[in-house]
Amino acid sequence: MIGNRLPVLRAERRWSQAELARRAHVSRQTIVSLENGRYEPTLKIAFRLASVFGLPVEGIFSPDPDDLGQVSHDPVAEAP
Amino acid sequence: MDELNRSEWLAAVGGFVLFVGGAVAAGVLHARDSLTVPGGAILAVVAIVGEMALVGAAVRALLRSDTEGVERQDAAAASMVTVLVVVVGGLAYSLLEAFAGLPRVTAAVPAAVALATWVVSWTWLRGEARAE
Repeated sequence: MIGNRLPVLRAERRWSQAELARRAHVSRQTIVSLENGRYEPTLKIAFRLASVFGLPVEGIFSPDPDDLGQVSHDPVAEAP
Repeated sequence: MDELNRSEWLAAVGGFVLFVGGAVAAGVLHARDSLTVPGGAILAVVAIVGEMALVGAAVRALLRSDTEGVERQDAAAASMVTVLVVVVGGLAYSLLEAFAGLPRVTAAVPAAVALATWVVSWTWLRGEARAE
């Protein structure tokens, strides 16, 4: 699951979930679902939240290590 | 979904009236054994035009709105549940209908089942989101 720092960032700014939802132009349920890990954001919402907090996307969201574990950095194997 | 504008409200209300009016009139005439084939065709077209106007207004408003967020995920999940229920249920019933003597049903039945399944799935998923 993609992790996020939304509760921390929100608390630092003393914003309610409803306030963050208003600023990011999403529903409050979207913020609730993001914070409890039920929903992974689309790129559009990730960039909106990054803009709201004035941070890069990586400053809010962290990748799922298991998911990244599936990525291969090996050069393409030559066919025999 | 965004608010419907004035013309969409007119289309939605007018469409609903045409749909219900056409369907009820056809039903009443059919029950009285006084529904002719041309009359039935005209009333069916009236109801279909109304249905299209109603659905078209709702879809236009939906497409205009911002469909990002967890609602999209829940709508996709509800759609997958609906397809599964209607396809599996439809195939199962078709076998029972063909080989076990169950009554033939009108095409309105799977349409109504699909609508009800989607609404129940969506409501359940939304309730889950609120409960967390």
